[in-house]
Amino acid sequence: MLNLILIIKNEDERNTALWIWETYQKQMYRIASKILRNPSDVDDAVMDAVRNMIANIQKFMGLRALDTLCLITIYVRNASLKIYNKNKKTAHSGDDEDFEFVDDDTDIENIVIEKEQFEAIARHLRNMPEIYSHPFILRHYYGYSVKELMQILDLTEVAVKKRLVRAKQQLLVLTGKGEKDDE
Amino acid sequence: MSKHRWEYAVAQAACQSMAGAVLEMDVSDVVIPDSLQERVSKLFHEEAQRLARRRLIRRRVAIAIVAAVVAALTACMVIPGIREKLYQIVVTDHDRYFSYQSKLMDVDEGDGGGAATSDNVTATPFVRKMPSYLPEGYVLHENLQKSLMVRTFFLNPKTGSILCYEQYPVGTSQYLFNSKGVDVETILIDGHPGIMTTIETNGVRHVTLLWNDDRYDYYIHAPLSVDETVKIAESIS
Repeated sequence: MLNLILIIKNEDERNTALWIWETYQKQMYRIASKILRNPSDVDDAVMDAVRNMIANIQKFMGLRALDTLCLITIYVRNASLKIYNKNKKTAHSGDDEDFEFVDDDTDIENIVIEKEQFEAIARHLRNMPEIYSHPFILRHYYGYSVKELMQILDLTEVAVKKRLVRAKQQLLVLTGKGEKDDE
Repeated sequence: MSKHRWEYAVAQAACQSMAGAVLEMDVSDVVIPDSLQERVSKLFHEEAQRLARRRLIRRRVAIAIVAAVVAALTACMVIPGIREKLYQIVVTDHDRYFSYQSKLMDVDEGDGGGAATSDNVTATPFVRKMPSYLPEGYVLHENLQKSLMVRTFFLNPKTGSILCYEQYPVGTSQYLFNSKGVDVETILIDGHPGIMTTIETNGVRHVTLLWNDDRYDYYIHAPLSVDETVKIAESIS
């Protein structure tokens, strides 16, 4: 792991990357193993996740342990799903390209959500397909830009925006402010 | 992103739930394969090399830019026209930054002169002096007299030659010479040290004398011989 020291420019980043790998490598491996059966695919997924984490190490700076773990989970699961889909030879983004998205920041900022609604929405987000929940969490909790989401999730801009909008639409249905998605 | 938006709170809740689920996973039986450890180490090593290469390229580019700038400046300074222009910009156009500055105050007109002070000039009356000897043929052409200076031109109507004489309080004037092709010598005028430059242009020899006594700087520029010019200088009273 000493090689890691050579990569990261400053002390904080170096410590963060080192800490992440040494602390969560088993969790990363286990998460990938749950999606992929082939050990070499698991290795590839972990490798891809580590590569993405190094490229975005700034996003891990100053996070609490739980937030870091959640972010690692998202990175590893996305890397694993990418390989899984590749093996299945299914298009990862499929019908995303012809979707006409709407701005996901419009007209719903001031919605007042009751406590019961909030719990229902949070539960719904947890149970939502990851292709929607992960972009939503990265965008709204970790502050990723659409461009960064494109890189992390390996999606087009349209696909990212579509998933963000659909995630929000699905959540807003529970508040009675949104419309049910046709999908 | 505003942290007060409901999306943030909902995402945070989901995130904590997700992290909690991962923490509950039993990973005691997980063994990271050596092959993966090696691959990760290799990945880090490659990244390190990539960064090192990038750093090297940046350093080389920086060196190349510095070298190019130095070379360009050197080339500019080699060209006389540019050098002179720079000198003019620095010394003439912006002389306030590095040349002696004098300041007039309470100029008192009368009695043939004025009282003046500057940073190094005592407030004493300015006594105008003129040469009592002029070579044959020269007549007064223009006489510009101000409180702290005399500038007089004598003209020889037959030859069209002009003789220039100037007088300033010590330390209130400056003279710039282009030393290219000019002979510069030290000289004594009535026991006062000065410098003399001679230059020949279009077959005519021009002599410039510059000296000062305790109170004034004197300047003479004439298309005459050295002896004639010195004779004019020594006749100033």
